[in-house]
Parts: sequence; C-alpha cells; structure tokens
Amino acid sequence: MKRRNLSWLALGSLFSSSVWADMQLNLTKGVTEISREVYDLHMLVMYICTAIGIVVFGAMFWSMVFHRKSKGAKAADFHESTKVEILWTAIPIVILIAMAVPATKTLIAMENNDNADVTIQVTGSQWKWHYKYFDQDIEFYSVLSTPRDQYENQNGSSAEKGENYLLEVDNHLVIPVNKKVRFLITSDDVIHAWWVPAFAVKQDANPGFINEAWTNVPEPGIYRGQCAELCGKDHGFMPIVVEVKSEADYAAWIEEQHQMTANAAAAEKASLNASVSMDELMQLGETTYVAYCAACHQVSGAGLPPAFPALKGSPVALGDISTHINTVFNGKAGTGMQGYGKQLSLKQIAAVVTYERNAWGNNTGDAVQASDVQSAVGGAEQSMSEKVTDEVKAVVDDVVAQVAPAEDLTKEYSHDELMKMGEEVYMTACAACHQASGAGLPPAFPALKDSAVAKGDIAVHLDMVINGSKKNPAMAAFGSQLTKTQIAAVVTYERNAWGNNTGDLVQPAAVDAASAK
Amino acid sequence: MTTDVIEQESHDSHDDHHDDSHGKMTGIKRWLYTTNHKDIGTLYLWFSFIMFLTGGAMAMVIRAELFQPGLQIVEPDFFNQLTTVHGLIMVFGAIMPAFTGFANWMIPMMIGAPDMALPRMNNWSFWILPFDFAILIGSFFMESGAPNFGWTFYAPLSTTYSNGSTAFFVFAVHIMGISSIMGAINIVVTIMNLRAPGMTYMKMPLFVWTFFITAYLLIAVMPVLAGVVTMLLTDTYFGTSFFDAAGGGDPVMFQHIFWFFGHPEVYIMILPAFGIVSTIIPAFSRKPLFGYASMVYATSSIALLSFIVWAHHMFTTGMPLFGELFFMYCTMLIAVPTGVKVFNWVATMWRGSLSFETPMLFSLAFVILFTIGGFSGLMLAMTPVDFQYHDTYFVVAHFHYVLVTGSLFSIFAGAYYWLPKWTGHMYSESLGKWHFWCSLISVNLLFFPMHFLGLAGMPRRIPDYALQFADFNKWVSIGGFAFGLSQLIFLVVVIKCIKGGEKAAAKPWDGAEGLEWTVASPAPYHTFSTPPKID
Amino acid sequence: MNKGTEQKNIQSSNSKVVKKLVLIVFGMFGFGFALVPLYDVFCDITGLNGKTNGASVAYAADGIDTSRIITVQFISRTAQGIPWQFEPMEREVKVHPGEVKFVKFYAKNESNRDIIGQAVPSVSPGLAAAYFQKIECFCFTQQPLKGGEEVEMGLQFYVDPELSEDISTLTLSYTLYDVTGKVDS
Repeated sequence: MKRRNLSWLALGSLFSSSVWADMQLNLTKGVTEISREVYDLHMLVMYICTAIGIVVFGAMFWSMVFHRKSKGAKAADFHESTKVEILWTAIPIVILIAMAVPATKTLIAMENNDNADVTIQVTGSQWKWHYKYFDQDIEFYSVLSTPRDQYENQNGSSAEKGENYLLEVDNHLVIPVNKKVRFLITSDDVIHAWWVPAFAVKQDANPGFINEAWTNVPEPGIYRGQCAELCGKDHGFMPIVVEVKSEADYAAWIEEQHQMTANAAAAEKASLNASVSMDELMQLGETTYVAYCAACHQVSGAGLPPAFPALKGSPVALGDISTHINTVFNGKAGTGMQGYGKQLSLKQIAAVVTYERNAWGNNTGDAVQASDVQSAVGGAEQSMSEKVTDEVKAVVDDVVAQVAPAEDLTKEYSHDELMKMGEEVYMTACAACHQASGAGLPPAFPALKDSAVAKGDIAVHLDMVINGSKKNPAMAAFGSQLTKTQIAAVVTYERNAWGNNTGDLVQPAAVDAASAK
Repeated sequence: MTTDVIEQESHDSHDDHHDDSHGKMTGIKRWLYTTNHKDIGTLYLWFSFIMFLTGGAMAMVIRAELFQPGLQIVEPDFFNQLTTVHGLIMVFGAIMPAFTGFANWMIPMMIGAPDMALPRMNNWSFWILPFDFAILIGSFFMESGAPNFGWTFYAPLSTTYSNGSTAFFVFAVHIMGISSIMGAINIVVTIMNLRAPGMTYMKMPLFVWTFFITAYLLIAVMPVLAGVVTMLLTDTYFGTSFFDAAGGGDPVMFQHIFWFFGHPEVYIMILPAFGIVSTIIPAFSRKPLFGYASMVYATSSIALLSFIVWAHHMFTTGMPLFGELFFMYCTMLIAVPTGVKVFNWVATMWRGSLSFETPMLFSLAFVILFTIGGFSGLMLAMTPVDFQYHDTYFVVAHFHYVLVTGSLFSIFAGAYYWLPKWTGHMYSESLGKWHFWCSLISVNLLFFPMHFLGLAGMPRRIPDYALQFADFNKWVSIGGFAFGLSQLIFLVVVIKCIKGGEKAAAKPWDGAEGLEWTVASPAPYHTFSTPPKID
Repeated sequence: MNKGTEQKNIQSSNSKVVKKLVLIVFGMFGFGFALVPLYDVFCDITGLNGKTNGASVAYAADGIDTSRIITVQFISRTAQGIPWQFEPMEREVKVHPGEVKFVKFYAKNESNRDIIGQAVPSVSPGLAAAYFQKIECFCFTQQPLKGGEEVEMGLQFYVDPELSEDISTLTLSYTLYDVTGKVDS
C-alpha cells in the first residue's frame, strides 16, 4: 500500500515543473493571415486523417473482436474484388484532390514576395543571426542572451532557468505592424533555417544564395522562434526574437538605432587615442570572451579540439600579436573561426586579445590597445558603412561641382579643352559599353572607332547621343543626363579619338541647336 | 549460444549429399567461410540485433540528455555525434541488414531454391559489414570524434565545416553501400533464376515480390549515394567545389542528390516490411491475402513514385513555386497505393478466423501504427503546412512511427513467425506477449508525444530546449528507456528458443502457406537440393 | 538433362543477370555525377536557387517596355575570412524591362596581403533569375587586389521583358569569397 502511494508521488512529481495548462498540444494558429490559413489546412488534414483512421481501424477492430477463432469464427474464402479495389483507389484520390486545392491556394499566397514595404536581410552564421535593414543604415547581430550558468548544468551550475530560457536574444529584430516585411535570407557558413512559428515562416539560409520569405503581422508583440536546420554544435542555441512595433514606435526605434550607430562610431574613434589599463582590458576581455568566444574555445581556454583548438598555451595566443589580432578580426576561411571585426568594437577586440594572451597562464604580459588593432589589420580607418557613404557622397559632389556653374552655351572651346573634357565624360558615361578603347562590345555595343556614326554626319551623331538609338535600346538618351557642354565635348572626343581624326569641333551651341529639333 | 545452433543444425544435416557444397566446418571457421544462405541469414540477423542494441544505447543517452532542460550529461557536439551515428546505425546497421537476413533465410526456401545464386559473394557482402561498422563506431574514439553532421550529412556542414570525421564516414558509407549492392544483386539473381519449376512471377509469395522490388531499388540508388559521398570527399579533401558556392557549386544540389537516394531508401526500409506483414496476416486470419495482384502493383508503383518525390524533404530550401507544387502532388499520390495496401490487409482480416499469437500481434500493431505514420506523412506532404512541421519533432515522430513501429515491428513479427523454422523450437508465447505489450505501450509513450512537441515548435537535433517542452520530453524519455529495456525480453526469448523448448512441427501455424513449411523444423542445412514441383 | 549441364546453364544465366545488374550499378553511379550538370541545366531553365548566367550574354531583348518599372536591389556580403570591404555603390535602381543599366560595386582590400576574390551572384525571387541578364559582370572573373588596393567594379545588365508580370522587385545578392590559392589557371 505504502509503495503504491510512493509511486503515485513519483508520478505526480513529473508534472511539478509546470502546469498542464501551459502546454501547447496543437500547432500554433499564429498571428498572420498566412499562419491562420496554414493552421486551417493542418486541421483539415488532421480531421480527414482521423475520419479515415476511424473507418479503417474500426473495421480492423471489428474483425479482431467478432472474427476471432476463439469465438468459433470460420474463415471466409474471398480474396479478390475488382470493384472494391477500384473503389478504394478512387475515393482516396478524390480526398487528396480536396486537400490539394486549398493547399495550392495557400502556397501561392505564401510565395508572393512582391510589393514589400520593408526589406530585411537575414544572415545566419554559427551560431547567431545578423539583421540588416535594406533602406536604413541599421545592422546588428542577434545572439542568445540566456546566461551560460542557466544551461551548462553539466559543469555543476544550477542557476534557475528564466521564463524565456533559450528563446531570448540580446537584440530583437524589430519590424513595423501591418506592413509587408520581406526577408532575404542567407548564410555565412553552413545551412541554417530562419523560423518563426507565429508567422508560419521557415526558410533555409543557404551560403552563397538568397531565399525570400515575407510576413505581415497585424498585432504588435514579441514572437519567438529558433534555427531549424542542424548547423553544428550550438544549433540549439541560436533563437530568433521578432518584436513587432506600432508605426510610431517603429519610427522611434529607427531613430534610436541611428543615434546608437553614431555614438558607437564616436566611441570607436575615441578609443583609438585612449590607452586602457591592463586591468580594465582584462575585465572587458573576459566578459567579451565569455559572450563571444567561450562557446567554442570554452571558458577554460581548453577548446574542443580538433574543430575548436585550445587557446591556452596555443601558438596563436602566445605568438605574433598581429597574427592573433588578424585571426580575431578577419576569421580564418574554411574553419569555424569567424571574423569579429564587424561584430565587436576595436576596443573589445583589443580587450579580448589581451585577455587571451594573459589568461589561463598564457601570461605574455602583452596589453593590446584599440589603436594596435587598427594598425594590425591595415587601413580600416573607418567603419564600413561610413566609408561607403563617403564614397557615394564624393561621387555626388563631383557631379554637383560639374553641373553647378551655369552653362555658357555661347562659349567656344578649343580642341584641347573639348578633347580633355570629352575624355572625362566618355570614361564615366560611355566607356562601360563602348569601352575605353572605343572598340565596344559587339554586337550589343558597337565600336565607335572607325564607326559610321562617329565619322559620318555630325547631326546624326549628335541625335544619337542626345536622343538615344531607336533601333538599339541599349543606347540610352543622354540629353537629360549630360549638360550640353559635356555632350559637345564627348561628341568631339568620339570624332577625334582612336584615330577617328575627323578634325570636327562640336561646340555647345551646336548641341543646343540639335536638341531643339 | 551460437554453438548450440551449430550442434542443433549439424544433427539435421547428416543427410547432406549435395556434391557442390563443402561440408560444414566447425567453430569460428564455419561462420567465417560459410556460403550457406541459412548461416549467412543468421549472421545478418544477429549482426543487426547487435547494431540495434548499439544504436539503441545511443538513443538512451540522447533521451537521458533530453530528460530535462539544461545540458546535463553530454556536450552539444557529442550530442550531435550521437544523433548522427544513431541514425546511421539504425538505418544501415539494424533495419537493412535485418531485412537482408530475412531475404537470405527465407527467399531460397520460399521459391524452392537450394541456396542463393551467388553464395560466395553472399559471404563477402556480410563479412565486410562488421568491419565497416567497427570503423564507424571507432571514430568515436578518434581525435576528431564521430560524424556530427546528422545522418543526412548536409554540405557544407559535412565538408568545409566538418570535424574531420568526413573521410572515415565516407569510407564507411562506401563499404556499406557495396555490401548492400552485393546483397541486392544476389537477391535479384536468385529470384530470377532459381525459382522452382512452375513458380511463375505471379505465383511468388508477396514476401518474395517485395524483396525483389526492394533489391532493384537498392541497385538503383545505392550507387547514387556512393556518388554523392564521393563528391563530399573530394570537396572536403581534394579542392573540388560541387557543393561550395565559392567555386561555382551549390549546397542545395547536395540535398537534391542525397534525397534522390534518400527517398527510395525510405521505401527500401518499408517495402520488405509490407512483405512480412502480408505473409503473417493471412496466416493468422486463416484466409488468403486479399488482392494479391493489386498488392504487387501497389508495391511497384510505390517504388516507381519514390523516384519523383525526393524534393518533399526540402520544401524550405527555396524551390520555385511549381517545383513545390509538383513534389507536393506526387507525394500525396503515394498515399493511394499505400492506402490500397492497408485496405487489403484489413480486407484479409475481414471475416477471417483470427488468432493472436505474437507474430500476429506485432503485425496488427504494424498496420495501425504504420498507418498513423502514414497519416503524418500525408500531413508533411502538404507544402504550406510542411513549413511549420519541417525539421521539428513532428518529423521525428513521423519517421519513427514508420521505421520503428513500421519496419522494426515487422522484423519482430517475422522473427517470431519463423523462429520455430529457424531453431526447431517454439518460442515462449507468454514472454513473446510480454515483449509485445511492453514494446507497444512504451513505443507509443516514446513517440506519440513527439507529435505534440513538434507542433508546439520544438526543433529536432537540439540538445537542450525551452521550458514549455519540458513535460513531454520527460514522458518521451521514460517511454524511451522502457522501450529500450523491453527489447531485452526479446533477447531472452530468442536465446531460450535456441537453447530448447517445445519441439516445433514442420508447420507450427495452421494457417501458414508456403514452401518453407514443407521442410522440417529446424530447416535442414540444405533444403530443396531437388526443386519442388509447383502447380 | 543431367545435373551437370543444368548447373552450368544456371551459372551462365546467373552471370548474364549479374553483368546486367553490375552495369546498372555503374550506370547509376555515373548518373549520380551526371546529376551535377543536369542540375545546372535544370537551374538555368527554372531559375532554381536564383542562379544567373555565369558568362556574358549579348543583348537580345526586342525593345524597352516602358509601361513597367522593375526595382532592382543590390546586396553584397563578404564570406568569412576575406578582409575586404565590398558594397554596391547604389542600393537600388529602377529599370524598364529591356533597358540596359550599368551599376558599380566598390571593393577594397583592407588587409596588407594580396587576395583574390570571387563574387558569387544569386537572384531572388529565383523565378526571375532566368530573366536577369548580365551583359558584363565583375563576377565572371576573379578579382585580384593587392593589400590596401581598391577598385570599382562594373555590372551591366538588363531585365528581360518576358519577366512575369507578377514580379516587380528583383534582388541581386553577391557573396564575395576568398579564392586565393584555389585559383584555376
């Protein structure tokens, strides 16, 4: 009697960790229109299967109960019936068609990625997600934020597991409510899969290729998902958290992100001139190491050889500082070692390198500063996005500078002036197709060297440049893209370069006259 | 206990006059050099059972780790090694060799042939297997560790990002491939050339038909597997770029080629099960199999369809819409011949005279539980919903229903059914029933809640999970341990049956049909040296 | 019909079947490899996986369809281990189907060693890939850059007017890989 009570007690304790009511048995309905359609399909198939199951298993159990030998049942002798065979081939086909029709409809809706309001690039890597907003200069990594001591129970740690254990990240992906959001999904290393059940979105992230998916969430809230394709050791530890915000909140968030990017850039610059004490480096280094490196190289620095080598006593950590920095900054191709240059600030990299060179008895005594990192990795003076913005700006400035002075159409230019200006214009506007050598890329892009147009009637030549070709759409109209002076110069150039030597000088006034026609 | 078999069988083989065969050797040499189909069948069956226990032990560790949230016992990387090798061992080491064992034992006896057509190759195809799996399991003890990229070994996780076990893995797959191909060639040649006079194709037992079709599937797709692992090898070590985007390759192509092998492979593991169950259900219903011809056609059409559905394993890889639709429709179509089979089994039982010995119990459980696996398969075929199911525990539940309560249960059913013929003794019916009921209850406790876990959103192949999955995982693990322990009952049954027990008659089952029941129990070392007459 | 000849007959027909089956085995092994070019053909036809043409094509559209505007977005990514800055100089362009466009990408080798890069394109949606025609592209060849060197790389393309009406946005993604040391001569 006592023993039985005990076993009931043990059975009861199985439920102790949570309540049954919390448990989800069925597929989630999700929050989007698509996810509801998917749920309905799921229920439809399940009902159909249940019905078929009841009929088939019912017949089986009927035989098992009523046609048993022990009850004296005598076996009948039938073993064929074409009629029945046809019937139970045909009926399933009809049922299948009934299932295929709504499935096809939903699938077509799911695959329509067009007309998105927001586009976000999602990149998986071992073992984190990276999000980049296409229209904004916003990008960030999203990494599991559950503290290690909550899950590393094999090391004796027994911290209580939080509510969103293994489903929480440091940076949420934020998207606006009621907008069509398109995800461009890809990977940096192995195949991952980006899955948020509430949206019914699951797409593989294939290295080197992009995949698309979309959602349109009508309710603000926080939605959680996980990587759904085996991607190595910490496949179970790269969750996805999407935060859907109202339009106003979303705009505020975007603003805040821009501000943070600017602050980070300023801090990065400041760190270049700062000299940080060894203690501070070691402290920052340790926290950074535990967050970013310990998953593979382990907190003890012993690594998990051979895939993840030990850092304790390793030739990299004890050897040349610049090699060490470069490995951390750029990663090592073809191995699990990623580049952290984009993920960590220079100061963090300096700190983590310092930590690795001095922890676990490595004791090299080296203190690495942010400026050391910068000089070790070469000329990366500015952060990526800053650099590009500058580039684009320079191009724009250039164009503005050329356009800005009002055109003097009456001005007569000398041969040399026209040729010099013409060459510049040609190189930016024409050389892509017609090539710097004037040889073109026939047949789509005819040669200008010795061409009938360049050596023939000036009016035809001008018309071609100003209005484009009627026969060949590849030849765009430049009338609105270039100034008249520029057109004059480029036509002059084309008629005199590469041995065309027609001697013709085309002045802006002629272009003006030609465009007026 | 093997020596007992030898003694047992050597008594019965004194009437051996066949001039072609060398006499039986004794001790280990008998087993090393044997070309006898019954010996080789026995070897295959024991080997697969040992592999089943080995793979099962790995599953126990996996379930122990998943018993509660948090990393308790193993490191995540070792966890991945366990799931990978568990899958490989169960597919290539347990299920497939077990069926080959059945084929070796039963096909010659069922078609009235003296032996397999190519007995020496038969010896080879078995004996490379133990070495092969020694290599695979041995990789656990190497510096690199065992393969950790899943039994589906998707590139580039298995190439550029592998832990260094790829070469051993590829070598092991090549050898098991060669073994399967040799076994399959042997089965085809035997069935084509050694049928007793008068046994036309449409008079062959359905068991023989399913193995015939399976053998053809093996011959068609095992070379493709060999090809894809070869590409994997050269990508990893010889600088080719089949699956590496940097060199113009494509990692998704790996999945296409792999599943071109992989989907027929799934049927390689279930068609023989259909054959076994189609033999047992009529025997214990005391009524001929309903719709023999339609069973043959259904099996063939399942085999043919299996070549054009492979991409339903990869709906989330970003296929164009019409590709997804094509593979969805084809996959749904497979439900039709599969349904025909289930209906035929039910019709066979209908108005029969049923009795419930252990083989029948396992067969009945097979029909019901395999059908449940079929239902979840149908659900998975629906592309839009598959986006939710894909790579979750729902898939794990699905294929374990098909492979454990499907293939494995049919193997148990077949083993109980023919044990009297193999050993000459009846097995202990009460222990057999214990084995059945323990297995039935525990296997459902093990796999049924996995459906719920998957639907609730638990991804597969993870060593730790969020808290809302905790309760079900506990139950699943308990079911897992119980199922594992239940299999030890089977071991006891078999050993007891070999050692002794009630003497079995030539035909211990009154409803059984087939040539194998016309010879004595245990089957003499050489049977049908003179072919029987079939009318 | 003595036993010996019967035995021989069976053996010869056995070896016939075995030969046929072995032939199938080798055939299927070959077929596994044949799937590689077949897959590429299949991808070309269907645009599976967003594969685009790997070599220059001539302009072959008949006319510009000015009634439609297609937005072409550019995305660039660097694979791990290649210390290059690599960005499109325009984020997106709007084109009419049939219109030839020229855009530039910027690349800079930020390390102090010489590196050879290879950009691998992918177009999404995959169905549009077959209609995205590259006349000239830096991705056709490998790009060597000395340490610290920078370059502007051109891409000239047009969108085939046959592109399905349902598609109005195309995304072209380039992933840059470090192929130093695996360069084919």
